[in-house]
Amino acid sequence: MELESLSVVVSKPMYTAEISDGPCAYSLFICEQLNTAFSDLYEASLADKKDLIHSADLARIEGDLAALLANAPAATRVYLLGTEKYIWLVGQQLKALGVTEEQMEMLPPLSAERSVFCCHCYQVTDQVFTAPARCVGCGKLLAVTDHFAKAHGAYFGYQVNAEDATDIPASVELS
Amino acid sequence: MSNQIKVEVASICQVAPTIREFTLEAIDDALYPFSPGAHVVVEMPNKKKVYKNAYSLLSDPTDTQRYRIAVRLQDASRGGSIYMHEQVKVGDQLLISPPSNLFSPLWHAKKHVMLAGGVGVTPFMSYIPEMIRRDADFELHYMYRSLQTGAYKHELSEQLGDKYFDYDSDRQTRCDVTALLSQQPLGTHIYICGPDSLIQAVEEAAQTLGLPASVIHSEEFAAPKPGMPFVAEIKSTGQQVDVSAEDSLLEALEASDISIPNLCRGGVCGQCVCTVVEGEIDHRDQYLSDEEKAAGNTIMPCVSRAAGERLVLDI
Ligand code: FES
Repeated sequence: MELESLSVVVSKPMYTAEISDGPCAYSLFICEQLNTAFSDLYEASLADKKDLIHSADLARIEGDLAALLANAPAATRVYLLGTEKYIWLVGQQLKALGVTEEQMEMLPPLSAERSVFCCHCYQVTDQVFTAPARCVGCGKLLAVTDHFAKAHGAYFGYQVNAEDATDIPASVELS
Repeated sequence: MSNQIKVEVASICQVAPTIREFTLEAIDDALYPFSPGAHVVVEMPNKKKVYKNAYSLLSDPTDTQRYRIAVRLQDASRGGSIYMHEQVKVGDQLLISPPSNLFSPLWHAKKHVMLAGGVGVTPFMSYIPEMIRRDADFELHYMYRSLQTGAYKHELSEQLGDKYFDYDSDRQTRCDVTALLSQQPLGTHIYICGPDSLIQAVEEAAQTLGLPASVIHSEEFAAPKPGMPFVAEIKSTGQQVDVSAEDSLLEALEASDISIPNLCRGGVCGQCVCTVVEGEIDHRDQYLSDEEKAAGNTIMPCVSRAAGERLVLDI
């Protein structure tokens, strides 16, 4: 019963490729990998001022954001492209600087991979494509739920075979 | 309501041509401290009927000895503000509700910009001491007509210095809302208290500039305005309640001993919501969404009325 009630929590974010380009005074584009669609988006932006950050290094991005957003106007819009974990972790940094979720345009993640937060050892396992997934922290075999934590950019995972460690469910591909 | 607080009117002063300030002191116990932006509902036992109006507290939220409220004499007063201005004397006792808050500042904001229209300055009077204590970055933009309103302008200007901006439309100084919003830095939250026209102008400017709706906050207690008389029918009992032109639906129900949960009595909090099974609604609240209003099956009886002659309520 408990397993069922856990698995019904669905907070998997929805993304749309349709980007709203409403009015703004400053637009900031941040990506983990630059593709043509994203650079076209950047080129097409009509904001008075715009910048592009292309980096996978979250610590570096944090420094860049602090500098770029220090004098940014209230009418700022930020576009994010990368893996799901990346866009949400950058989203957390943005939030701390005063950017609301409405001001963040998150493009569909570049791959179906998920990061999974282990509720037993609190480690996050990245690049999970199939479930169940082996936790990098404690080695338990984790069920991967659709319960998403924005603060971690990861999905809630719990041991799938706690009753019987030899019971190994068939692997399914995540979407 | 049993949780009401008895207070004594300790002083009354005219703070603008149409605005009077009342200082209410605790009689039995100390009053509750409150959060900035809170209001109380004051009960006014007039001969014909009991008025209940919500007023923002404008004293320092930490002061538990007294509350201060300011009442503007409304042009189309249904009696509430006339009662406060003409009947209430120093030494009178009044019943008030405990404070509740529908308009609190968001403390995680990087900067707070308050836009006050006329008597709408009152909730900000309780924001300011707390903003100063927290060393928050803030500005007050105060719009009034000096022939009618403009209470506290001198003391605010003196206390706040360069954080204070004023606009007197009786002297042709006006606030350029679009320019004001476009100068604000990222992380600013905007608070508006004043007439609906001001709230709308700010919301429109914000949308045009591209400010997110979640940083715009407003409060307007729409004192229930009179309308055409109508009949409300209670579905469960068949009882017919006459609502006169002057009474709100909520007041008429209460007069017939039908009690409806309520908090703000001004169409803001959502407490009084009722289901309508028959009849057209004249929506006058700030609470229901446009979709809910269009669906036509819920009403906020504290301010809204029937558009026709009859409404059937599912209570
Ligand atoms: S009492 Fe608050 S909306 Fe009616």
